Amino acid sequence: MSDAERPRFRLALDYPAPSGALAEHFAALARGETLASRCPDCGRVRAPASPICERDGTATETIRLAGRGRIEAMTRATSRLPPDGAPTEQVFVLVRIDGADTLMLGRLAEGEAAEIGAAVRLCAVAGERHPAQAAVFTTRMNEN
Amino acid sequence: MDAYDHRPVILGGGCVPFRRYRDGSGWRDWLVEAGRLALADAEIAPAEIDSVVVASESDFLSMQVNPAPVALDLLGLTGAAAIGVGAGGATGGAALGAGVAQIISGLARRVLVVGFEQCASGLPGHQVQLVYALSFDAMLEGAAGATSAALYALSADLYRRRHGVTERQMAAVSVKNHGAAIGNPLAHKPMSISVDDVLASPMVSTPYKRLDCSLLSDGAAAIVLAHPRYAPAAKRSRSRIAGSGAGTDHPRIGDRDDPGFFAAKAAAGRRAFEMAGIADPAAEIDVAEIYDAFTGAELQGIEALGLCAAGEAGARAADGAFGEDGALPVNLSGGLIGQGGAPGAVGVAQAIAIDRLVCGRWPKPLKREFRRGLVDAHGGVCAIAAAHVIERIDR
Repeated sequence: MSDAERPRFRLALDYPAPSGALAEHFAALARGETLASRCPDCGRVRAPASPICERDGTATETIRLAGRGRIEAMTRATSRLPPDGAPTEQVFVLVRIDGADTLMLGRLAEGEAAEIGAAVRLCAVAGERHPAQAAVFTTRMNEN
Repeated sequence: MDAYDHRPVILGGGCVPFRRYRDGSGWRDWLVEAGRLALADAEIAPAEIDSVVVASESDFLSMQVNPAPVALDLLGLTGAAAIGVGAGGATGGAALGAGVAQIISGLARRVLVVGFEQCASGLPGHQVQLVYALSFDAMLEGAAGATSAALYALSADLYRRRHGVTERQMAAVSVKNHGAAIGNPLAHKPMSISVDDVLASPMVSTPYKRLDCSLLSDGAAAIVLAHPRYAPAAKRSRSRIAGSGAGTDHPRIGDRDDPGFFAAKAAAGRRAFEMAGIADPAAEIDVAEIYDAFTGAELQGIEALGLCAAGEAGARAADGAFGEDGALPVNLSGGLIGQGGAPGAVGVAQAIAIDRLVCGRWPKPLKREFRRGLVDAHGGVCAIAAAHVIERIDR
């Protein structure tokens, strides 16, 4: 029996986007900002925000960062955005957001290229299928 | 009595070939065959198994939620104790650790650890990749479009730039592992290739090309552990699990102090080495199976486990130090790159490989003997890790 002749079982799953703290994070992303958490004990600033400090377990406070930083790692990859879409080339980056101790994952805006160390900022994105896909950075620092 | 005097003996193991099955069979068939082979190799009857640990990375891949009772039913072991284990790519290794814990704690006398995955002949490849992307931080990374290859590549980017590791050095890992697979009849992709072949293969996520990547494979593997008191006498050499350790790190690599370093693996190794009484793993481990999700990940793993100095693994790989005739053979099975990537089965198959290597039962004749080996597996970009030291029991 060939693969095409085998009986198929099709399963479609439909997950809602998250509510709660992640929803606030995603709303900030869509505005081109990021929410970070600051530990009142050790001062560690983590972006995206986390309710608990990953170092000492202390409850954190949420702060707003401007969403600007520098690229520390980069890869050009083929990805499907949305997951059921056609494969496209994307540049994924880890960015040190100004004021944060951690690196934030995102992708460069379509058609842009950059080098390690380049300054980038989050840009407001609308219409993404999943709010996490709004983590888009641009090298155009002074445009709206 | 020292608690470690209860360390489990490996009675036997069985593994179906890793590959893309085109005969209409599925994980249920492979699981049964792996279990049958393991029990036959262990020379015990099914009724002598007290407990079963069932390893499978994802219900998405098997389309079977809660696979443990189904697995026991298929294996004719219903009634025995059972748990299911899932830890991404570390699933098989974590399941082995659960089996070790059951033996040492006295919960079971003999444990069957069985792992399986249907990654090649089930869902289409791009859907398997989507499932894998959910094994990182699904909501913040997978949903953002980041693939497994992209996240590993970001970690490798930081690692490479710090230590000056080249693409040719990483490619040497693929050449080695595909070449080693030629000596393993269970391997999915035995190939004789060159560094230039790897560099010329299609780009997946810079710097990783297709031949830098592990395989999507079908497979199943099973291993039988026993408390030494309940291990029947054998005419052949046997090994034991001398050390078992696990470790974790933040799931998002950007949250880590050093995103290019596999800290979870370092912790797992440290705990396994301590239990095994190993002070200097580079000098005391003879052979290793390292989780090579990507070529760079093998190098990162070798260094995190203390098998060579930081920043030296790339140059040593290119010089052949981790080949069959090198100072420390790594992935003589072929690893995930050559033997295959069926995550629930991998950690178990790695343990079977090391057991056979230290007991002189490897299918390919080798120029030397090994006494003590290391099994290493991780999930995520090394967010969770399991390490085991397996050593031959002196008769």
